[in-house]
Amino acid sequence: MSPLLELRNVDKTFQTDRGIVHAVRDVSLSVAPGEVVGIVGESGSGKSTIANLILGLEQPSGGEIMFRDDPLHDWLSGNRRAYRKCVQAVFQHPIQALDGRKRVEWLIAEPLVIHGIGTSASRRDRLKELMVDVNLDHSLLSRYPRELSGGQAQRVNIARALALEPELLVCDEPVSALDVSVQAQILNLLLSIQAARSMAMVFISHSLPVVRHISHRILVMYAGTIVESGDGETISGRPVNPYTRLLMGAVSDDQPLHESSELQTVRDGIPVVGCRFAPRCSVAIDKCVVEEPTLESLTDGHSTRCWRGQELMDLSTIAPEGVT
Amino acid sequence: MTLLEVDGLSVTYAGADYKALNDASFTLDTGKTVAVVGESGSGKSTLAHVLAGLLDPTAEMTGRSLSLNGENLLTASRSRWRELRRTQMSMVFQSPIESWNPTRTMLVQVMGGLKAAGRPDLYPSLVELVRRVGIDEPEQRLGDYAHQLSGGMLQRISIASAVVNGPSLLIADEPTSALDSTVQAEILQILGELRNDANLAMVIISHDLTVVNRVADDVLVMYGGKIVESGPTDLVLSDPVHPYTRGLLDSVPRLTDEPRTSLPSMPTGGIPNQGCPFQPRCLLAVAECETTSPPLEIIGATSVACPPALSIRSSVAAS
Repeated sequence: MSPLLELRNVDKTFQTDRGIVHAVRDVSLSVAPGEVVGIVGESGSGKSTIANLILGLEQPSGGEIMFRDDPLHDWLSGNRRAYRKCVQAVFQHPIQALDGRKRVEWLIAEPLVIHGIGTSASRRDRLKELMVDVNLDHSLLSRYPRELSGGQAQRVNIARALALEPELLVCDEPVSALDVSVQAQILNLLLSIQAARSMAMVFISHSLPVVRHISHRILVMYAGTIVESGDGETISGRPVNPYTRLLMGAVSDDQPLHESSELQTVRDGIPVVGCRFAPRCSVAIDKCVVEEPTLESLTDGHSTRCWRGQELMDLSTIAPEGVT
Repeated sequence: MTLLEVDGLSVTYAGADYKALNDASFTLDTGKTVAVVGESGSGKSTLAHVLAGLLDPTAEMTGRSLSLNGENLLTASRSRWRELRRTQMSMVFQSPIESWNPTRTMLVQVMGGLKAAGRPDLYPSLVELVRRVGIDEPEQRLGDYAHQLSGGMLQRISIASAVVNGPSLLIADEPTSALDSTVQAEILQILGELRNDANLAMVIISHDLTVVNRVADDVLVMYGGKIVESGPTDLVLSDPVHPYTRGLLDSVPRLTDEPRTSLPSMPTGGIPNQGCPFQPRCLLAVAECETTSPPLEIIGATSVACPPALSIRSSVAAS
């Protein structure tokens, strides 16, 4: 099956006061119809830039983005509205993402109006369906965003995104601004909607457990590049890349502080030659500081960007605790 | 030795018809860490403000006791609180960039505080501490402005400057929530080391159970302004009794879960003015929960404000 979305060697640079910043470097990924691809990384890893590139909010500096086998550039220049109908987004801050002067009923129906879908009567029916789909009570229809809780507002954002029945939903940190107990509700909602509609999703978060929970496949990003990719079991159970391992150690639930694995401080920032992670890496060798590794496939569906990838994988299959 | 004692504290903000903090009681020993867990509206930030003497002056506070090192602070003047904040307690806040004045260098701001506390001689210790918390060129970095530093670096400097004059209590309100997970783990490690070396007691306000698990000796779980469960962290997190604590723990995705399955989630619901605050969302609620505010009952090392959960537990234990 041909992919719904494909990024081919995409680069994105920004010109800043302090020179050129490579936010995204040589990123290739594909999303099949109905597939959930999770992207996990820290601030500055480029994960949100990828969301913005997919949404057409930023233009790539190099490489190509294809949607349904046509270049994104063509969609945006010739058929922007059709692209919007296919690709929708949910962002981090649910209340700020909504126009504060509009009521819930308008906010959810607005995409239908903009795209000229249905009559005012049929739109009202659709609005009711969407409210049910995202478990929003009808009493909230005439509220303004500031009168909603974070969880309610995020449900409005999701209903708005679903109104056009998109084929791809891009979620950029959709639960990180919410309370823990509300996060679970929103994750469950996204999961059930995604499964029921076989909608493809790009799910971006800094939290590995959250990304793992919802995704079929996970991409780990560091300093603008993909450093490891694989399914959730592989990434959390048998990670190979030293950065993924560091991330795992930092988020593992059952590790009291005094037992936590050694952590390297980000001291000298990110180097411009060699492996971007080398200064923080506990297993770096001489080669790592002079030459950047490429993303190499280890097994079917599991790739890593590390000169010692194969070696670390062999070691980890012998001793699961591996090298740190 | 008891450092901090809170007994029966309640806070009502001006114009509100509910208590933001409702009859809170706990003690904290020297060198120990207590975590306060809860969601928005649970009263955890109000508690932090009360402990730091930074409660909005229009709010009404009542209580039997609020004491630090045996000194009664319920009647302390604002100038006494200011003095305490310079000498015996300090604070670290969630957003490091917003905690610093953007128009002055870090050094000017930290030294301003030390001079006000009469301790400008602590500059060498400050430099040493900043190095200690993982900043390579402390003198140079202290000469920077906030916008020149990353969130992690700012939070490191915040912590170093908060502990430089040897306070006995550190109040940290979501100290790592704005940081990346690997940086967060480092900051927690630093806090843990400082606690051990300087015998510093800490109150950490957090919504993140991973954070709590890593640093706290004891945990207070708050809901709707009340402490609903408290006890040793390992016990409360491994064997929670209160339905809210259980729901909170269950709703966090774990790396050991089966992916793409539904997470157990609690129903939503407001906070009623009487009875148990959690009752509208609770699966164990009985008629009595709507009318009577459940008392915090001690069972073993923990305290739990939920008679139905406790009676289930005791009948299970009996059978």
